[in-house]
Amino acid sequence: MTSPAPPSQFAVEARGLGRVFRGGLGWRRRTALCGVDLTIRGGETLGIVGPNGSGKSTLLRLLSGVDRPSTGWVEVLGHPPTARAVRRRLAFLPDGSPFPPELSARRVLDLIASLGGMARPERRLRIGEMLERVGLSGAGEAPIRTYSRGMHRRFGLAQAFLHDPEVVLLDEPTAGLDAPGFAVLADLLGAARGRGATVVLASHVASDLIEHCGRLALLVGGEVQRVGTPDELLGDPEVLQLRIRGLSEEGASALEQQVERSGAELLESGPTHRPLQELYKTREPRGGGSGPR
Amino acid sequence: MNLALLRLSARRAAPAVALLGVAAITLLAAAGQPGRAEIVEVSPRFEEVIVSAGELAASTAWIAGLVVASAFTVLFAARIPDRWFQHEGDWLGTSGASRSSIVRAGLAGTVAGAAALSVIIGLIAGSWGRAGSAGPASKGPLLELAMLAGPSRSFVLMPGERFEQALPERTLPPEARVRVRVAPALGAEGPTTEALIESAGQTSELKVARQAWLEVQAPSSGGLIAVTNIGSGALALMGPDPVEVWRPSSALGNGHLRLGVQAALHLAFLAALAFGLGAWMGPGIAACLSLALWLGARMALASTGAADALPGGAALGAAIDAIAEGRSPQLVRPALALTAAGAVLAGFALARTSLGTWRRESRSS
Repeated sequence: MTSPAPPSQFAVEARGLGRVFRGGLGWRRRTALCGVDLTIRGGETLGIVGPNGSGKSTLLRLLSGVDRPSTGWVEVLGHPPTARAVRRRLAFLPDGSPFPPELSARRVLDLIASLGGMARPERRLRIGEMLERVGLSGAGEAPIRTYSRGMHRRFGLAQAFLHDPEVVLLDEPTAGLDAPGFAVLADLLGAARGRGATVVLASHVASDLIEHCGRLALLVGGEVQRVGTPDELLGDPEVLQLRIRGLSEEGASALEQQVERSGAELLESGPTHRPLQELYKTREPRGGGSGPR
Repeated sequence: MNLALLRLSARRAAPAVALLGVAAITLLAAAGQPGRAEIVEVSPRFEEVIVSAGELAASTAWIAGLVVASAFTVLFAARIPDRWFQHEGDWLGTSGASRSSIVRAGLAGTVAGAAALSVIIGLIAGSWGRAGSAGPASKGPLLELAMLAGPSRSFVLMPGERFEQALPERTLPPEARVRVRVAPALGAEGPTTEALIESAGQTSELKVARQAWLEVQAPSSGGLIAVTNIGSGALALMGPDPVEVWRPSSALGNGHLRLGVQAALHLAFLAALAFGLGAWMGPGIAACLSLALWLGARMALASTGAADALPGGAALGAAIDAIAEGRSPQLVRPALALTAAGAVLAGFALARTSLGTWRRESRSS
C-alpha cells in the first residue's frame, strides 16, 4: 500500500520504499527493494552503487514512476513521479536499449519529444543538436537496431537530455561506452549540473561514477547500506595516493627512500595511464611508429 | 493524439511481412481460379444464373486474404502492448504524455494498420472482378440488394403447383431484377425439376438440379412474382426470405469498396480485441482468445437477428457472396460500425486499466 506523502523540500524523496514481485500464480514472491529511504537535494548528483541484482534498476524505475512501489512512497519535485507536471521535467535512461529498433534515432527522438509536448520546430532544432552532441549525427537516419552497444547508450543519453530535464535518472549510463562516450557523458552531466539539475546515476562500477557524484548510496540486497561522499564510502584512510607531475628518476627514488624511512610501505609506483581519449586524438601510424600520419 | 506513436503502432500492426503475406496469399488465391477464362457457349436458360469465373476468383481472393489477414492482425496487435510492458514502458512511462493518450494513439494505429490489410486485399481482388470477367453477370449493370420479400420459411412446390409473392409498392428502375432461391427436393417423381418464374409479363425457365436462383426482370412498381413447378420433381423454395429484389447500384469499385469497408471493420474489431487482451496476457494467448471470442460470437449469433451486427459475421459472408455473383454488397449497416466501435472502446478500456504500472507484475530485473 502507498501511503500519502507530506510536502517535500527535496528534489527527490523516497520513504520506506519497497518492491515485491509476484511470480507464478502470485504465490512466488521476490523482494527487490526493502524499506529504502532516500533524499536528494536539488542540484545534487547522487550515485547508486551495488552489485548486480541489488535493486538499482528497480529503484530507478520507482523513482521515475515507471513502476509502482509495493510499500512506501516517492516524490519528485514535490509530486508523485507519475504526475504529468513531473514527467515533463524528468528524464530516465533505462538499462539496455528499450527503444523501437525499427525506427531511426532521429524518428525515435522525434517521437519521444512529441510525446513530451515539444513543438515541431523546436524538436527539429534540438534533435539535430543533440545527435551532434552525442556523436550520432552521421548515424541519425540509421535504424536503431543497427547500432552498436555504445551507440545505443549514446542514443539513450540523447533522449534523456533532449528536453533539459530538471531531474535526470541514469541507469548504467557508462555501459558499453568508449572513451569518447565517457567524454560525452561528462559533458552532458556538466551541463546538467550547470543549470542546477538533480542527477541520479546507478552503476555496478563505482569508479565510473566517482568523478560525477557528490554522494554515493550503497545498495545491497535491496537495502541502502550506506550513504556518503565517495571518500567516506570508498576512501581507505590507511592508503594515501599521490599523483606527481615532472618528477625526475632521482627525485622518485629519493621519495621512495623517504617513504621507507618513515616506516610506511610503498604499495605501488609507476607512471599513470593517459586517458584513452587522448590516445585517440593522437593518430599514430599502424606500424607503431611515433610520427603523425 | 500523438501521430508519431500512431504511425509506429500502425507499422507494427501491419509490418512488411504481414502486407507481403496477405498480398501473396490473395494473389495466389485469385490466380488459382480460372478468372479470365472465356465462356464461349452458354444456353440462354442458364445464362442468368451462371456465375462468372472472374467474380468467383475475386471472392476466393477476398476469403483467402481475410483468413490470413485475420491471423496476422490478432498476432501483431496483441504484441504491441506486450512490447510496452516488456521494455518500452521505460521511456513511454516517463514521457510527458498521459497514459490514456498513449493507449489511444497505440490503439488507433493498431486499428489503422489492420484496416490497411483490407486495402491490400481489395486492390488485388478488385482487379479480378467484373473488369476482367467474361461471365454474363458482368455484362449487365451492377446490382445491389434492394429488398427481401418472401415468406419467413422454406416450402416445397409439387409438380404443377404455383407460388405467388406480392412485392411491396416501390418504384424500381427497368434494370432491376427479382430472383427466388430454389433447390430440388425429394417427394416427387424425379431428382430434378424445371421451374418457371413470371413477373410483369417477363418469364424465365430453369432446370433445377442443385440450389440455384430463378431470376427475371423486376416489375417497375409492386406487383406479383410467380414461380411454377413445371417439371416432374419437387421444387423447394429456400427460406427465409427466398425472394430478393436487386436494383442498379452506383457502388464504387464494382462493390469492392463496400466489401473493403466491411473487411476493415472486421479486422479493426479483431485488432482492438487482441490489443486490449494483449495488455493483460501474453500475445499468443491474447491472439488465440481474440479469434475464439469472435468465432464464439459468430456461432452464438448465427441464428439470431443480431448476426448481421457482428463484424466478420453474416453480413460479411453475404457481401462476399454478392461479389462472387458479380454484384455489389449493400452499404455497411450502422449496427456493424457500432459493434466495431464498441470493440475499439472495449480494447481501449482493457489496455488503459492494465496500465497501473508499465511493468508486468511477474517481470522484474
